[in-house]
Amino acid sequence: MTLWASQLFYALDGLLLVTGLYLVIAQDNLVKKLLGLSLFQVAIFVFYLSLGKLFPGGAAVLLPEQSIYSHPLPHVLILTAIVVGIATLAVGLALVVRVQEELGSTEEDEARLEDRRR
Amino acid sequence: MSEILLIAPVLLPLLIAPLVVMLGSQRAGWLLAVLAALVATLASAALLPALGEGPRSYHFGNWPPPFGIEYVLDGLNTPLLLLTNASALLALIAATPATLAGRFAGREPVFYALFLLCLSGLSGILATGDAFNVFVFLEISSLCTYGLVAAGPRPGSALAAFQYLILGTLGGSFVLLGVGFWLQATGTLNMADLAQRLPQSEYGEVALAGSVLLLLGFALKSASFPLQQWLPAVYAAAPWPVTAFLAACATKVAIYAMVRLALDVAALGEAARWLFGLIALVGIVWGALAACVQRDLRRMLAWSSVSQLGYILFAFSLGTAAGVTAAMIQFFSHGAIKGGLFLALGPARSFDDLAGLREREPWRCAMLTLLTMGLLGVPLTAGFAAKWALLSAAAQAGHGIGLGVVIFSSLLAVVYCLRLLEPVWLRAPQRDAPQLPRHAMLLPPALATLAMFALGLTPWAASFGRPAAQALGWAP
Repeated sequence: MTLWASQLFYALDGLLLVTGLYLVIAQDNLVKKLLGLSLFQVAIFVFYLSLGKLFPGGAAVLLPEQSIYSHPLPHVLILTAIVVGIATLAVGLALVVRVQEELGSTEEDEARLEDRRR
Repeated sequence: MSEILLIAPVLLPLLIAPLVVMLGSQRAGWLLAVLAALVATLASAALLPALGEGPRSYHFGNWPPPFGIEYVLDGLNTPLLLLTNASALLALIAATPATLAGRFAGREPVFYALFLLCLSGLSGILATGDAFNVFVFLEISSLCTYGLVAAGPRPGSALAAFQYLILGTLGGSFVLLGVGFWLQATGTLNMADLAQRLPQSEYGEVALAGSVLLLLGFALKSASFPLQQWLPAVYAAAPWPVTAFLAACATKVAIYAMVRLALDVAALGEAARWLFGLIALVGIVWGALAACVQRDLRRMLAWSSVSQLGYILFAFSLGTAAGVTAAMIQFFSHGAIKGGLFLALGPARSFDDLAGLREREPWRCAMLTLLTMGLLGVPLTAGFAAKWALLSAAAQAGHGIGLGVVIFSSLLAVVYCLRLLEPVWLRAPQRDAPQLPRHAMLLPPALATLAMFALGLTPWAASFGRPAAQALGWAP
């Protein structure tokens, strides 16, 4: 892959990253915040996966027609990070349910006002 | 045998946690959790005598580093392992099913399991010699902390836990990204290997960007200025044994990670130490000022923590063996004092809850008073030993501004400590004060108070200064 293509890739990934971060900061709804957080994490996962890829390398399996291999380690690492990300999303959603039950809203401002009122 | 000791503090709570859930009984669950924390504490204490013999490492699956994951226990992280496990032990003793009273409707075992997993994660951050492993353990401890905070008694506890989850996950993601940059620059994840390869990397900018991201992530987790806003909200929302545990060791583990990664592994040297000194000194004053004006009791103590954690970071920023000694004393001193204070306060949330404590519960009043003296830095207490070591280290290094800031913040501490003691000693008792089973109330803060005096009267904590400085390469 040529240099400009990989630079375009990193630019798009960076855009994904800051889009996620922007959603976390700007959204008032707790579920939308979590979606932004997931987007932010996915951008990091994609970045990691790109680290291991070598052109024209293939999968790290011994094949007669292949002498250059992609680095398998980032995939293993990101498998762990994806699991962590899913767990975080699940805990976050469970907390949103609790916030809705106890403070009657999933909008951060309203929930915070309700919390202060009590 | 000694091989197993190296991994026991991390693995034991991890393995016992599911057992606690499977047992299903609150009494047995509590007992098992306390036992696990006790054995982990003894195991980390057993590691201390051999501290002078240099770092010891455990290779998982016998894979030699840098290929496999290794745990490395040296002079810097072994004492902190003991601090973390001992804090968890005291907090767990206090967190009897009766203390948690009705909050969980039969799900107490899950609470104890989360507590043990959180402990295991914190111990793992301390023990591991692998950069990616740090991220994994950070997330294990963080995820459990969110659950523990949400178990708090206030209606807003879940919201506080959610907001902490957002910030904590951003911090964790920065750590992940930073490790990725380091991997990109060097092709390795082993810390000892990274320490050799990072300075020689052809991609110096990539390595530096990774270091900055890692610092950002751990500065957030350690509530270093200006990323400390989450701390008071979390301390106020969590159940009180959890607050005591987090206050005693959680942020300190993140400070350890900052120091280890920036000053040891990445060897950023002068620039990083200057930055540490700056955020520490601003944080010391800012935290103490904010503590003086808080209306909420726990928030006041949380802001005092921001100030006190600044002392540790400032001590490391001096870059001398004396500075490291001061940091080690402050780690233990603040752990015993602040953890003990939250244990002694128990379910009290506002200054009014403390009114007339002198008549209602004289023992609790005595411990609160002694621990507050420790926070102030009155002679004979650990707080004095820590401040004395810090002041002399700053004077040795010729850091005049630091000296002034530490003395100024000590004066501010008088203000907020007196705010704590005023309702205890001078106000009349109120009728609707919270009640608690006595043994849970008295034993853990009493042990913390004893530890505070032991630390103040013996050079035990100071004896870790030299091995810790050797681990950082700042002493021969």
